[in-house]
Amino acid sequence: MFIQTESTANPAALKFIPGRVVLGEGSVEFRDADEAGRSPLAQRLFAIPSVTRVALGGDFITVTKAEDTDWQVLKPAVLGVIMEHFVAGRPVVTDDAGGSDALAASVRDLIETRIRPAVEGARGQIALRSFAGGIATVELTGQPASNATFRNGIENMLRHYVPEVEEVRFVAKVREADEAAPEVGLDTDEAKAIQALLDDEINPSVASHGGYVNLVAVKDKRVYLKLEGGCQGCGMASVTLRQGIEVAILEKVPSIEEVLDVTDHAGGNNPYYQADKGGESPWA
Amino acid sequence: MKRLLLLVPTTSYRTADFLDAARRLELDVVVGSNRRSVLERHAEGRTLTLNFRHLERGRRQIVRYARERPLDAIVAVDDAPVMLAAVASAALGLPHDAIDAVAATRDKHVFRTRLVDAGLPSPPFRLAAVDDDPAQANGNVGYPCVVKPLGLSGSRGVIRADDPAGFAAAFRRVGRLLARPGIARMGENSRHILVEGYIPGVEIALEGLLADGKLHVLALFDKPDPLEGPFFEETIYVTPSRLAPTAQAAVVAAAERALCAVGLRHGPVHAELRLNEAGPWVIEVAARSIGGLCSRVLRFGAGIRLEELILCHALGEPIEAVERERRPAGVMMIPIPRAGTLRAVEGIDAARAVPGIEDVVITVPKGQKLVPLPEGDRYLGFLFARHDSPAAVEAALRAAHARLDIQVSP
Repeated sequence: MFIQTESTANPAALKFIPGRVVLGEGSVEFRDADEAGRSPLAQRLFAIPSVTRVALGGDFITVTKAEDTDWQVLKPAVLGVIMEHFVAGRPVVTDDAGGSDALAASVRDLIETRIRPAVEGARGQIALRSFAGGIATVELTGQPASNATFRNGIENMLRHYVPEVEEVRFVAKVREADEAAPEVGLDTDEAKAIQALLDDEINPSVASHGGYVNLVAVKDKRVYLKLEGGCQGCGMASVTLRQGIEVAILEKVPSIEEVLDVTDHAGGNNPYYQADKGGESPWA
Repeated sequence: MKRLLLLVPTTSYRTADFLDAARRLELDVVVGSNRRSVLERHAEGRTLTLNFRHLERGRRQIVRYARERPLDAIVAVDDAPVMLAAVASAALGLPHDAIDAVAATRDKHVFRTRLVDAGLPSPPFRLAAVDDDPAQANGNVGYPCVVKPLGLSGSRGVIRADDPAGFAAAFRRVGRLLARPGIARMGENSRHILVEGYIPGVEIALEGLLADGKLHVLALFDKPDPLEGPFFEETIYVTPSRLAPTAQAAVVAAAERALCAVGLRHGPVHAELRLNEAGPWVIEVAARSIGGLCSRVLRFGAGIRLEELILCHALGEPIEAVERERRPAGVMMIPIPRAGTLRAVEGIDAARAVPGIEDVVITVPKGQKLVPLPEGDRYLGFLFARHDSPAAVEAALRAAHARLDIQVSP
């Protein structure tokens, strides 16, 4: 997922474009967390210190900051929240009226009574996270999560018994701690160990490709990284991250569970590997 | 946890999408690529450096790796590693396509010969050497015709010629392209050019998965922009097809016959066909899934991505019950307007605001050179749409493209 940013006429406001539908139609603005009660995304953004206003549009989120905070400090945290929110498939707003509540109850009941036994029998777990706009977001873990036929069967059953279900989105189960926004948290022993790993081993290696890995935050067993220079937009950045950096971090700091990339890869001007149509023959 | 070897060129568009899919499926992944990972020593066993052209050496490396860390499947991303995937899978006893069949998809002349041998419709064709006299190289193929490199992808180097003068110019141009160092490494494939009769008609793409030789059609794409040459820059793909059901059935049947003629029986396939009053004609078949970022427009069942489906299939899961979502969808490979340096792409917000447009992705960084076809080897970017009808999808893609201001300096 690439999140683009765009400056606005107000230097204290920055537009974030996640490349996905945010509101679809219309716009809404929240001046504080209380006002944002119906928007889980805005609520999480308000959990970041110095965020003073959040506006949601068709395909963008505009965040306004306090005057005394620098975007350089705030932007990675905002990118992290937005990315995590969309990747996890959470709803942007949940303002459905009672009708949808009743439908959500039907979907939940169906999952609890008819689907959960089968999922648990296959050593998995399932729960309805939300139902809005015809989209049921379902938490699914364990073996059924990796079985396409199983997931297809769940969708078919939900659609059959609740015709208002137009789409089923499966997401990994969310831990309670994930509901909070990432904070910088760079003063902990874990963060210091990760920073040392980056300084001593990772960055000297990726420097050979003109790259640099920046530690943005450590929060709730998650590490937030930004890939810069030749790594930003590189076709192999995901391999560098998942097959290299993440493995090294998890080995060095076993308490860490996940490493997240909050890089704006679309903004990379000089990626080391650039994609092409390939097509070279294997013969030589 | 099952372990998967993903063979991926460093220049693939699809590395992140396949790794994301593997993560969603909770697979243990090792990435085999043609360049050494800068972090290889920090994550032992998570990457392999393989020369996709040296099949025997690559096979030995993979077999050696699998002795310590057994593999459940090998999946090739893009064209370059498909041969090594087949060879290594055979050595490890994993499900795979016949090596000979995969090889036939990597050489356009061998492929066309297989179709003719199987009695399938084919235009006249002949194999010419790059140093043949252009005045003689057309042989009896006649005009209009198309000259093609044997092993390049994405319409690269494909040129239509309508007369001897145009043919000579096209032939020399393709010869110069094949002499480029990066391509000349293809060896024998870079020293020959396929000359074949031009097939008029509308073009269709078929995306499928083969299981035990049975084709499971995942999507049939219309290509509403005419592809009549002289170059064949692909733009819009829309699914489901608006062709009549009988025509769609004929297209699928032709693809099945071609797959059978080549001998492909397992894994993802992407086929290009033309349809005219004489019926469907198979242009090409690749033993891989659709290229670029186009797969992002496809969703199956409960939101399953094509990459997930491919990995599930490689690991032996049944895929017969999975169908593409009902909502029409489409992708536009953004055409390169002219050669030069990309300065900016303005209007991305406006393009995203077009109803039905889901995403706009520019894949060439600012400041990089743009090279149009037939020499060019990159997509400028992609537009993705989903709407109520195929016509609405196509209209959304065109409207969004019209809002883009692609600034190129000489």
